Amino acid sequence: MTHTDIADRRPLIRTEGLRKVYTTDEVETTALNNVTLDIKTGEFIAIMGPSGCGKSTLLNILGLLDQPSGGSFVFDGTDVSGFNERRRADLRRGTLGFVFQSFNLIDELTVYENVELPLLYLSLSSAERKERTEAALDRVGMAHRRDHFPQQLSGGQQQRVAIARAVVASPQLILADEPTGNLDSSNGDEVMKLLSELNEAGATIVMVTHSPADAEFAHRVINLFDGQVVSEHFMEKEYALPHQSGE
Amino acid sequence: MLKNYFKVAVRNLRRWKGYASINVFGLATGLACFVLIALFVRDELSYDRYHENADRIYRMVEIIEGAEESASNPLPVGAAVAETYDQFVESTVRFFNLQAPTLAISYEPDDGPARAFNEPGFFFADSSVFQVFDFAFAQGDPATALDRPNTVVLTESAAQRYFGDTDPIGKTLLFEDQHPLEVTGVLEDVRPNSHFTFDFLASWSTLRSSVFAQNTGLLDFNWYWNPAWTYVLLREGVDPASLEAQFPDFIEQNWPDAIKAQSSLYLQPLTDIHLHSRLDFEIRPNSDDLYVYIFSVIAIFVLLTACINFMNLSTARSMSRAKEVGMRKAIGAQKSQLVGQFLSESVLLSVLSLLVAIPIVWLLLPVLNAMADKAITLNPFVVPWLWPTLIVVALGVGTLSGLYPAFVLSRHEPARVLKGSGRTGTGGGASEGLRRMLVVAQFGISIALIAGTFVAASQLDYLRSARLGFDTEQVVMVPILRTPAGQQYDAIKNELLSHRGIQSVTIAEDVLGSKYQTNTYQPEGYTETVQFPRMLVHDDFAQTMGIEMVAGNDYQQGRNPGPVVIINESMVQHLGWESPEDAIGRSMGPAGQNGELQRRVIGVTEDFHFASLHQPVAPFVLDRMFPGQVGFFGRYLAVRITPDDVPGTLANIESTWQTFLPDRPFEYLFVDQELDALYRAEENLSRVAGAFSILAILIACLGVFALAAYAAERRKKEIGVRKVLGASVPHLVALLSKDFVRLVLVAFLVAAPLTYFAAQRWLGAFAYQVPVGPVPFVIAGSLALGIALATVSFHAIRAATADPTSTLRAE
Repeated sequence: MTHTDIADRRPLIRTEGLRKVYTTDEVETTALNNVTLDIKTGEFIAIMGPSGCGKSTLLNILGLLDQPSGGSFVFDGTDVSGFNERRRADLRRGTLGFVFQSFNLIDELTVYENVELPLLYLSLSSAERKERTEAALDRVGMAHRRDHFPQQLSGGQQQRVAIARAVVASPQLILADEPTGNLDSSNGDEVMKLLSELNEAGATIVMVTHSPADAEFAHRVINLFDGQVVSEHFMEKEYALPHQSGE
Repeated sequence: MLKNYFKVAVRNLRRWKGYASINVFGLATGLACFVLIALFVRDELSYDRYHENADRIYRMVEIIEGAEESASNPLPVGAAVAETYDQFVESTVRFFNLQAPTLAISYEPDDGPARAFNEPGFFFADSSVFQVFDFAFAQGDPATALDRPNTVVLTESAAQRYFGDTDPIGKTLLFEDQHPLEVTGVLEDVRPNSHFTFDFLASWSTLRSSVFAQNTGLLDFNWYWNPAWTYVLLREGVDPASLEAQFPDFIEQNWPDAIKAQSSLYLQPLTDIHLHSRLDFEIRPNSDDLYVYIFSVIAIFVLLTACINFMNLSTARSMSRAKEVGMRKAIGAQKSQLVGQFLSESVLLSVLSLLVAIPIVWLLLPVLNAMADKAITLNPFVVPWLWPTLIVVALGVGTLSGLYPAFVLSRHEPARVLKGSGRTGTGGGASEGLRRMLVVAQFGISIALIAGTFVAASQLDYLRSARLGFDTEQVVMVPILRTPAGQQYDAIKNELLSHRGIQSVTIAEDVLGSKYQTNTYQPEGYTETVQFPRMLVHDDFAQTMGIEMVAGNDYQQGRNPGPVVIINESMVQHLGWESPEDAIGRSMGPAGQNGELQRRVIGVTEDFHFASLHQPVAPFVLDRMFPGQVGFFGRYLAVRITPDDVPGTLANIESTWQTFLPDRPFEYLFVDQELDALYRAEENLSRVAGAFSILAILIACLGVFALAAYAAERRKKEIGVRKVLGASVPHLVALLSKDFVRLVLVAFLVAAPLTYFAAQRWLGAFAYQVPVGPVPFVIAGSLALGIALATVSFHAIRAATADPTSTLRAE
């Protein structure tokens, strides 16, 4: 894959001059400062940088969990920077999938129920929910643990369930916040392989990571420092961009 | 989706069993209290409403200015009103019990021994009684049951008493050993939610044909004596005021001149009697709407306390749900959906609490019934409103107490809670502040209830032990009205006095301190007559009742013949006489035909409480009973006995009774016990309020217990660090307890003045009040503080003694 290949893809995310300022008790902290990004469908992006550089803030804004203080943010052709919480929630539903460092599975729900949850909010029929949930569990190899509760699983298993939950609604974008941060290296590797399989199957992925090894799986690495993009580069490795439906 | 909510809710409950059971148990207790009080209040409000015509039935009340406001009227009034005001009145009915506390009824079966009882629930009534009131007949015809003289209807339980399982219809009861009464009907027992109940209704015409056969004028022409409770059924659409407008004329035409000017009549709605009527000569003591309000307030407070627990525990545990909320939001849940989820959770919990509350109510209802003297039931056929109301209340409580937590919980921002360990700063300052306020409210309520209970209890104590001005202990009263006892009084008295344990014997018109009558006087120097409260008594009355004479002497056999009176000190002051000694020899009565002094004062007593302590002491006359009056006005034989061997003395009184009156059942009562009954409403109040205030503080403590547990848990790390740095266990306990202590103190400062004012208002209903000092508040405050401290220290000590390395390493 080359730089020019990517330029041909349909843009999914475009930000310009994105700013995020936190104001607490007379102290203003600028978390993001003039961030301009261009992410195409099917890309696998790794965002790197030291602690406190604004990685997570950026990911939260891209994931519509947080609102920018300034700048524009166009998601799939729509400017969403002014969206209120209600509209952002509507957009998140079915469009975005999240994977977190601490898995964030709901302890009171079984593996199956955790994965099914996004579909419940999409008000799908129970037959369709069943089919898609089972498919997602198969895909991450957790079908045999469907009736277990999160506490009964290892960290790696929990993260696989979280990934199944992130993809079950076939979102346009998967956001992963240090997905291997709580895992040992072999479990971490497995999770990364799973993510790149998903990417190969068509998912756009934006991942925040500290780990250079994990970043190896991405097409493009964006480096943040003090809330600004300081550099970005394409990985040496050749990747075949997945086939895109609808084009 | 609901199924998912339900699943999460149930699994959450199971996982946090401790919190869940505190929540459910607290709410269930609160609900149970609420339901019990609602049942009680509802019962109080339901009095007499079961009569189909309840809204058209009124009781006639006679006011004699300055003397009495009487629930009963002269005997002829009922019939005269029906006849004169036919256009307003559909029917009237009179009830009359000869003013006797009990009346003797007996039955002599053909086989077996006679059955005789002194019946407190015997009334003569007009045959129209069943047109006016709805008393259900088990047997007999309401239209004709009381048509004829010498007929009687009785309730099922009375029938059981005399006739067992045999058919009572057609059988003959004997009234006062001489007047036969044929049973023409059997009524179902009168519902307990009636302002008075009865066991027998005898036909009014019996009075004319038998009881007053020698003196029918009493029935037709005596407009002075007012012993008949008179009820009026107005015609449909008639405004009671239009009938009341006729009463001045009615009085002008009929009333005796002596009291015409002071007299007036009004109509009191039947449904107002139980809660609002505090007249003289009520058939039975009534309740007071004040208690309905007080109990309603308590019910709402207790329920509120439980709801506050619920809110506090839910918001305190908010952190544990943060991750779930964040995740649900991240995958697209709207805030409204989350609010819905948490609301349905709290509704589920309150429905669960209701299920727990129902058996609690079922267990406690008999206790409440016993404490409040009621017969409340949960039977859905009797209280069809109850069950739907319960469900509505449970849903309401679930929504009310779930609303705030739902908003707090759904407020979590996914961007913050989903990162890392899921911990966020201090846990929401706003909800923390509100939680404190709610705890203050809970303890405020508890302190108010406890202090209020203490004030009520000490007032009751005061009433019981107040110096009434006479000695209530060891005075036995034997009802003798309408017995031949009066005719043999001297012999009976001598026989009684021959027993060692008997000190003194007299006859009284009423139980001193509970009831009195009024009479017309014209004291020296007055040109017009005046009404004063009086009691007719026999020789040795002051001695028997332990009343101190301040001048002159008690009535004594053979001394001071002729019309004489004894008055109290207040009367001396009222009449402006110089001193008790000055009063001796003056006249209280109208001057005789030749202008001679009548009813000379022969004695002046210290003031004593001739009525309940709801009323202040007023001028009072102890009138002397003439021998001819004993049979008519002598209701009780009063016997002062010595404190030793009371049972033996009572047996002696009974055997004396049997000697002289073998055909009449013997009965007695003690004056002090009778007087206690005057404050039954207050006593019920203080007992019930006491019980509920204990529950309220229990619920509040449950809440504090859980909050303290939460605080200890949350500050585990801080405690660990402090311990490593050398903090001692007492220091740490103080650290953790300080917050709660401060809250209780604030609660005290808020509750104490409010309670003080409420207590003052309640005490205002009494003419004699215990002073409200700091004691009840100190007790309530220290109790609340003590309980809160004990609750908090449990967790504080546990947290403070925990091994710090384990908590620190876990971080």
